[in-house]
Amino acid sequence: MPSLVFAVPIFDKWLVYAPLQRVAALVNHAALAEFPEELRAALDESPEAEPRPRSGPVSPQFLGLVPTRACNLSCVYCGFGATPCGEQMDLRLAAAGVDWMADYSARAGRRTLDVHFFGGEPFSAPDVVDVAVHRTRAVAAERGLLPRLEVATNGVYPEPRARFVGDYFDAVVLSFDGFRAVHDRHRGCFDQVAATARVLAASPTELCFRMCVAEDNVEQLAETVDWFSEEFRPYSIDFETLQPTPESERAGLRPPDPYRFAAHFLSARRAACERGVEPVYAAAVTEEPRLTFCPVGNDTLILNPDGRLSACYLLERDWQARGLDLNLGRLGTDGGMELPGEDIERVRQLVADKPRCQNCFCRWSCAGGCHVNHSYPGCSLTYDDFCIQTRLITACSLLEGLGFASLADDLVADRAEMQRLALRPSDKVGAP
Amino acid sequence: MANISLTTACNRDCVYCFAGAQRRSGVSQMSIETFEKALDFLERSGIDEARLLGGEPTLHPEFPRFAEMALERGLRVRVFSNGLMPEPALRWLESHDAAVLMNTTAGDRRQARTLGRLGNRVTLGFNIYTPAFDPAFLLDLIREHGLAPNIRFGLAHPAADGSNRFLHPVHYQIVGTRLARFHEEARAAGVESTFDCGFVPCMFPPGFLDALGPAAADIGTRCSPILDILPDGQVVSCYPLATLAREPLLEDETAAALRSRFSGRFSGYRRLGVFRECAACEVRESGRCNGGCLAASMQRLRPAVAAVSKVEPAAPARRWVVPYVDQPPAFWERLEHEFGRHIREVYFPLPGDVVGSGRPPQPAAQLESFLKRSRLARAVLVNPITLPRPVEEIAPAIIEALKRLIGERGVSSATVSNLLLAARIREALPALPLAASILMDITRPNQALMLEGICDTLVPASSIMRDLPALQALRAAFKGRIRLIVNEACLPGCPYRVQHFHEMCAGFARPESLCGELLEREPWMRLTGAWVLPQHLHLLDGVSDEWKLAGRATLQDAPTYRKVLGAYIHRRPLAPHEIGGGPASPLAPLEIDEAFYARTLRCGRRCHECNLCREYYNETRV
Amino acid sequence: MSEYRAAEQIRWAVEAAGVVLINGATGAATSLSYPEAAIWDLITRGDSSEKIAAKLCAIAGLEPVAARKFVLDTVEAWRKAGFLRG
Repeated sequence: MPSLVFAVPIFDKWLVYAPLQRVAALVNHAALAEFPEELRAALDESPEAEPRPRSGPVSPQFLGLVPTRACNLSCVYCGFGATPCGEQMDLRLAAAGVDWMADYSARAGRRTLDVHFFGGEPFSAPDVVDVAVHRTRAVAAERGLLPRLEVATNGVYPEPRARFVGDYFDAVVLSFDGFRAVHDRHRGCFDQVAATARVLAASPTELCFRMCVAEDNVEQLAETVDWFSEEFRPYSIDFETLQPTPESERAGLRPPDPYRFAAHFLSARRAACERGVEPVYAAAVTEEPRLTFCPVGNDTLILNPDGRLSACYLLERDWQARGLDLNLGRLGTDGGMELPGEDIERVRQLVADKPRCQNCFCRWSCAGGCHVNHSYPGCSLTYDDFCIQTRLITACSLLEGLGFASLADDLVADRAEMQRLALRPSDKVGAP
Repeated sequence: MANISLTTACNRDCVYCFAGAQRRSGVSQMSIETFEKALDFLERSGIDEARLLGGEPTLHPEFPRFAEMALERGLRVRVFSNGLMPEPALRWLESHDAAVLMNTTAGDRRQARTLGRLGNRVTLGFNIYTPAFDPAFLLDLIREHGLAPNIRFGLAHPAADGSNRFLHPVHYQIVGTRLARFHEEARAAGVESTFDCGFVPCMFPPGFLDALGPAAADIGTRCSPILDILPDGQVVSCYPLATLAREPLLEDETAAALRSRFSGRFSGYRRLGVFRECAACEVRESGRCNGGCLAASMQRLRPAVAAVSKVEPAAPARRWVVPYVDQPPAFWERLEHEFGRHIREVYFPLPGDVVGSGRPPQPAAQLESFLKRSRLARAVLVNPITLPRPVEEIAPAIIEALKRLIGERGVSSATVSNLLLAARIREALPALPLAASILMDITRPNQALMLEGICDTLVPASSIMRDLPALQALRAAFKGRIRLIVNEACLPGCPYRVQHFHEMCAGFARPESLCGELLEREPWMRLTGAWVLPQHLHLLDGVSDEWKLAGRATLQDAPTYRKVLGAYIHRRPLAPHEIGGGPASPLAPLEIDEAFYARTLRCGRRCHECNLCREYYNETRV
Repeated sequence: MSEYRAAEQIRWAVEAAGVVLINGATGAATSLSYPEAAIWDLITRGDSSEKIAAKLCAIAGLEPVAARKFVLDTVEAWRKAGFLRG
């Protein structure tokens, strides 16, 4: 019997899951004690190797550019403390970052040159974005690469800028929390965001809505998905639960109850699928066993406005508060790159050991979530709300994949049964 | 290949239709002279097939004659139809050698009659405008009706005037993957798939085109001027590009020459592909793909002055009066987003125990929240079938309640069923617009005059809601606005009406629908009720200033409410059992032909001397 | 520079490696590669010549004087070709 088989209770049955064999099965209690031949054979097939931290030369999937930490909004849950004006990246630094990534991509035999923009609000430094976008396209053309540009944005700018975004970016992650009342309560400027969403929906870009789910909108998820889909036809909708901050607490905004979130997410996901929109809850993607679901540990280089290279696009003070050092090096405006191997290695190793995840069946899909907010060194060993909702959603996804959608429905309708699954300290199955 | 568009008339309203510009410019029918010219053109060009399309080509009054003419010239005839064809056209197709390509959508039972009678002469067509499509039902239809074992898939392309819903290229890969999956299932059932213009190789999974065989041969290169001859004799490259270039059909013109002219006209645009990446694509470079649909590629073009802000189209008149149902604020917010520009007001009964309304009490847990938060205008119903006490006794309490609602809850109009009460309200609250309820039972011009100075809006009696001459007479007599209820569905002059409405508003625990027995005996009478389908609203446009959707009890389910209201607002077809009508409405799926419905608007309900509804009911019942 | 605008008959689309301009009246197409494609984008969004030149320094790695000359030459060529009016 392979040692890395998990099982979680689903009423009177067990959901067996072996992530390295990519096998899932729903079995009765007796079968859990003595696996039937067919299941045993599937589990005996040579599993993939356990995911390990990266090794060898640094190999980023994309370059993250933070043109500025400034932002033109003051969302009630945002802990960045951004102001409308702030330090902007030197134009030469932006170009140097792009050049480095182009060199690397060409050397590595990639087909694409991938540059992703984060903030603050990237378009609070519009000149930096203009330069970086065109530099990316120019050097990509020179080197026979396809430019691949993505941006996470709040959408609060005039129509010409929105058209530029729609025409030049391959993917746009637009923060849009739902109906007017919710969006305005969370973020403000609903009309402008909706107008930008319309422009983007009509443009060639892949439009993704990132929806912050809090206590006040968790029950509207399916309804919101319906509306989003009909009104804007986005490519995907990404659901992220509110990460509490002192600001959100002051505003009286609370994260959703994880059990209710799981239940409503399930309905929203179905609504999205029916309308041809891809629903995303990033922590429950089971396609590929992984050690990390975020840039940290993936060799991603985030270039900050001051030239610092880091593994994470959150603020330095936030990860420092968790005792983490996610700095990787430095880039100069002249293109001089300092990327010490020991810093790369240190961050790679960070993702290897997450004690809370050891016995969880989601350990190689959720992979512990955000390393700064959730799986930081010394974090609690008991499951928190993020774990609970992720465990439930992952189990439901596996059930749906096996054709037991109605059982998933029954599960999320029964809080006691959800708790039995979600709070189970270990999912590992012992040898029969 | 060239298509002859016989008419712009159509009896469907497909959201993806790329001929919307032609349809909106009014009904245009091809004359026999133009049709002959078109046939000459085909012969001259060496084309051996007359492809007849529309609009819906069978709606052309001379369709059988035209089709006959094409056959007489030795041309093969292929008809592109939506399946909702008049009986003479269907009879002609049954008895002649013509192929029919029928576009279909899931769950549309109205096509069953045509499919059943034409059988294997029909090839199904399916247009994809959303990545969330499921073509599995096509195999069922082919099995059920013995249709040709072939499905023609089309992509909904954007019309140049931006008037239709189309498949965004960002979704092409999802669609390609789904089609590839479906193709395996279809082939196992002995059904082959073919693909119309605009499909590109890169949308399909690797290996699919090899597996597809000969049908894959020109996927990627099928976008070229097909030539559509319009009813007025003008020729366009294809419908989506119709507003950009057209040519007259000249006496000595050939298809090759016309195609060459259109190709030249659009040659620069051919540099574009549907994706930015097409410019750097090896497959395109090799000539195996021309970058997909030209109209879709042109969506990426930007105009000279990009910075000019968009001019909003003039807001449509707010013509819809819709029911309050007990849904949370999110529902109302969404309704406002989707239909706010069309909604005149949301109506709900006078809260509290002051007086009943035309329906038994409905859930109202969310009413306060709606009144506090929604920005939709609201109207209150004061419309019991009879008042429980004399007007002079009860009026003060009602007026007080109305004052509170106006002041505290922003109520901006009221519907009243008693004229004396309405007069008292008008005296006390002269600025409050009043509507005469359907329960005032106004049917004649002399009654309309009685409302003068008291009521601003008149809702005609149920008995004449489908009586066009009577409505026209009221229209002429009444100076205010006429509001028609579209889906009440009560029988005209129902003998049980007063008792039924009394039970409903007087707090009976289980108000009875008393017409049940009658309708069991004479089910065809359901066809005579006070309802009009969205697709037939245009027949009543001249006698109505605004429309009221009934459904406080029948449309409580949020998706159904939105679906029905959306269909009415956008005049998308619904069957009569789908409109949320009352208990006398048709309960089974029925196809309601416009010609039939139009006749019932003028028949005067002389059912003793007419069997139309009986026969129609028996013939069309599914 | 700000007095230049794209000519009314010109339509354009962003391509993987540049921009393609199409004359709506004649149907003729012209491809712009980099760095001209960047100048086109910035002109259509109303940047001044100074601002375009400043950005072009970073986009194309040009010295300020060369960048300014490049912008002015390009604009003049486009004006003559009928892509710009003004």
